[in-house]
Amino acid sequence: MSGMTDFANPAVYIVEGLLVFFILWKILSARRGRELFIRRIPGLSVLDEAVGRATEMGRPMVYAPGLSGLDIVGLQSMSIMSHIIRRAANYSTRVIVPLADPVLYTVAEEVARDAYTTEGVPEQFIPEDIRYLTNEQFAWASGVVGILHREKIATAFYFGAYAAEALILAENGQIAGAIQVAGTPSITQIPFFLAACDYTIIGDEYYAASAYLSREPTLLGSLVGQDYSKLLMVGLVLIGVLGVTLAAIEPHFPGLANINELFNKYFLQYFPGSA
Amino acid sequence: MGYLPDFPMALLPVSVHGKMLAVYIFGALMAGAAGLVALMAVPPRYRKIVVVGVTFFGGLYFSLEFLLPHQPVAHIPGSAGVARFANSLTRAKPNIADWAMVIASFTLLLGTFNLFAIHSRAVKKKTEGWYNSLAFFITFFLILIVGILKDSPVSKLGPGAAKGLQSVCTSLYGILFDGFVQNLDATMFSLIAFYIVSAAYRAFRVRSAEAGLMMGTAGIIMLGLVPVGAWLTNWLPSTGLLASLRLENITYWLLTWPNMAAQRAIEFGLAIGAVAMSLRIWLSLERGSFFDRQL
Amino acid sequence: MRFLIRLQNIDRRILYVLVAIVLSVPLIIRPAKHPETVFPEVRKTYDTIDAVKPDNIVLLSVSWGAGTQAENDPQMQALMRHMFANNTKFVVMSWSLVGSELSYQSGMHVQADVNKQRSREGKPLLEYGKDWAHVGYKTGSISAIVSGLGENFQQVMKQDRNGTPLTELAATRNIKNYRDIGAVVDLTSVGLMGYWIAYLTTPKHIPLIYCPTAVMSATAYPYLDSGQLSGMLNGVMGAVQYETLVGQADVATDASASSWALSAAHIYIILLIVLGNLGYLVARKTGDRSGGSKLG
Repeated sequence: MSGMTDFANPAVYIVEGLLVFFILWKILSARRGRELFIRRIPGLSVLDEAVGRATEMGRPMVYAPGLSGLDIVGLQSMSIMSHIIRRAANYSTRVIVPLADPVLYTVAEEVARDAYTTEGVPEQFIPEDIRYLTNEQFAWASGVVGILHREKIATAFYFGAYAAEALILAENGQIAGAIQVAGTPSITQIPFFLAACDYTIIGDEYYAASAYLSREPTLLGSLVGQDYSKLLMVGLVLIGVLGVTLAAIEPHFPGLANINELFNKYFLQYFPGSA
Repeated sequence: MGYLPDFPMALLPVSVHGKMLAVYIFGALMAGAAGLVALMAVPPRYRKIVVVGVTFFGGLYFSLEFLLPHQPVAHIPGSAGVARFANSLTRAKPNIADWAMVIASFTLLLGTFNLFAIHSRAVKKKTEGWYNSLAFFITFFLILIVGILKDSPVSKLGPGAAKGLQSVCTSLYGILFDGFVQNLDATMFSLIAFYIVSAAYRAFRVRSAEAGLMMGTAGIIMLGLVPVGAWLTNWLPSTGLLASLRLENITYWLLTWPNMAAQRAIEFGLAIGAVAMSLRIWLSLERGSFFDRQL
Repeated sequence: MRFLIRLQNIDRRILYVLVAIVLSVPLIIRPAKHPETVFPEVRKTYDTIDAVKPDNIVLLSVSWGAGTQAENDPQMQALMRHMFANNTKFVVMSWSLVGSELSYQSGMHVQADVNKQRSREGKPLLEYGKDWAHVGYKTGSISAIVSGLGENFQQVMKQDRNGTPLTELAATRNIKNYRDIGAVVDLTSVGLMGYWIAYLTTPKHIPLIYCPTAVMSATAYPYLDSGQLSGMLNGVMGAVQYETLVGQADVATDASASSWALSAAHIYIILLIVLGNLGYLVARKTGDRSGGSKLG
């Protein structure tokens, strides 16, 4: 029988159901007008300042979505890009967007066009500023480095999926004297951005960015729902740790007999992981 | 291949050859054009419904395929039908893979058009650095032509000439690919070595106890991963309590315990963020500019 | 004192020249010495490949290009040597155009090298198409392709890079679906591990081996711990340790040279950090606030 039945077990239904419930519940309550609080995220608070700097210097900005394609990471990047372009449009500052994915390129072009139109300055949209460079990782990186230096970029934003090219861009941006703000869900690249950029947002702050910037109730609600979901995960981890620990000390404590069996029967067997 | 999914793409055969291929290509083009015209003719309000619907059903396919039981569950009436349905969804997966590859190939073409538009304008207007754009056209066509000729049979030229042309193209391709593409790409990556040195040197300052701790850990891992680390502490016994003080063992402990804990924590946050984002897109709850504009 | 303070602001051009020298010397000398230490995940990789059933294939997913060739290519070559030695058939697929060409060249190179040895020993020679195949470049939604090939390998992969249908190649003729895949190896500079785990290897209980660049390896430990990864070669160091296991411990290879170049570079960086901090501490003591990092 083909198909994957291992993972569609009661635990999956319950955990996924709860995750979806928390997120949707908070989105709906936020939409109904409930006030929600999110803490200050320094890397995102400086976006205005970074756009302002480019305006003062009369030089363009770069918004690089990394190697992102049309997936969750790429779409989130487009959402942040839209906010940045809208702010840049208010000050008539150019934003150059170099892309490494042809599918995302088509989306980026539409997003940029819409952002300018929303701000009432559709004439500021320059199609050539949304550029598909190549889908080869380092050829793309060298293309962006070229833009950083040739266009004398004042501000560079790196939001998206990044791999080894992260440091190449950030160091060159540093050499070119640009203010740099970065955010990526690619954990391995965060240290490089931290070392070479002025501001870096870390981990799931990347997904919080659009909520933080727009204060849109749907996004804020989703963010709070995510926090509830994280609490659920913490709870599951604690149960797992407790169960494994009890099973380990069971031989020394006769009173805990069968605890291992119970733990396996009612908890562990529903979380298969190994291949 | 004897393979025909019963749902939802029973109408699409796995492979077609010869004249039927032309018929299918023509049919697909016509159907695509008709679909596009129909979509344009629909008022914007309804067009949005179409987009929302396609997104929803796309997501629904993968959710159901994953979540529905693929085997009948005992004592639950109707579960055999559900399992049959789930299995038919699973059987459609290769067709979806085919579709994904075809769509992505078209977008590659779209990207190329964009490159042509940007660079031809640069050459025409003689903007600063226009010669780089000219280089793009030269290299693009050179590697395209050489690449095609290298592998294609050019029998019309006669066997001798064809062989000659192919050997010229093969060596030209070697120069372009091994000589240029490969080396330029490797050069870009190797730049990281230089940047890592300057970034580490600039950023690593013991400004606080935490920074000191991080630096110490980094030092141990840097040494422990390479042969010199093992060499530095090979005077320690390889078994017993003291063995755990060997650099490679400390490194491995750091990677598999403290590092793993931190990685897990970040991964949980990221994964839940991705679930939330997926949900918002799937159910079209997102109010980002590109989801809520006039379609 | 001023000299010490200036240590925190060494011109970056001097740093660059020195790093070039430090890296080049071991690469020119090419030491053959391989490390004695073999990390557990490298050993597990070896055992996983050994455990592949004779009628199953190993699927090598290539998503690296020329940029990370120095790290990913030695990993792939060491694995290929092991599979050739075991008579385990393998299929290479690439998500990168350049990687497609390079991995094919590498496969041919290892095949020729192993054949030299085989002809000396009078053993039957390896052949492309019979012992291994290369299906070339694939593009599109990775999740769709990965989950699709598990259901119907022939339909999704269709033909090899030379246009020969996979049903006509001895290596791939009998591959129908995930049941015929004995292991998947993700050789990558961009990290596709998540796709394989979610859509094919974990649901179908296929062992997955992860071969990333060194910088990416730290993220893989939770998956090794959970068993979702059945092994890992950590950058070029993973490759050099694997070479030790496949009987190349005394051969001067690219990987062994790189491992010593890495050693030298790591010591150089540690030295620089120490010097920079020396300058920083002296400057702080004397109240000189010039230079240093802009980071807090």
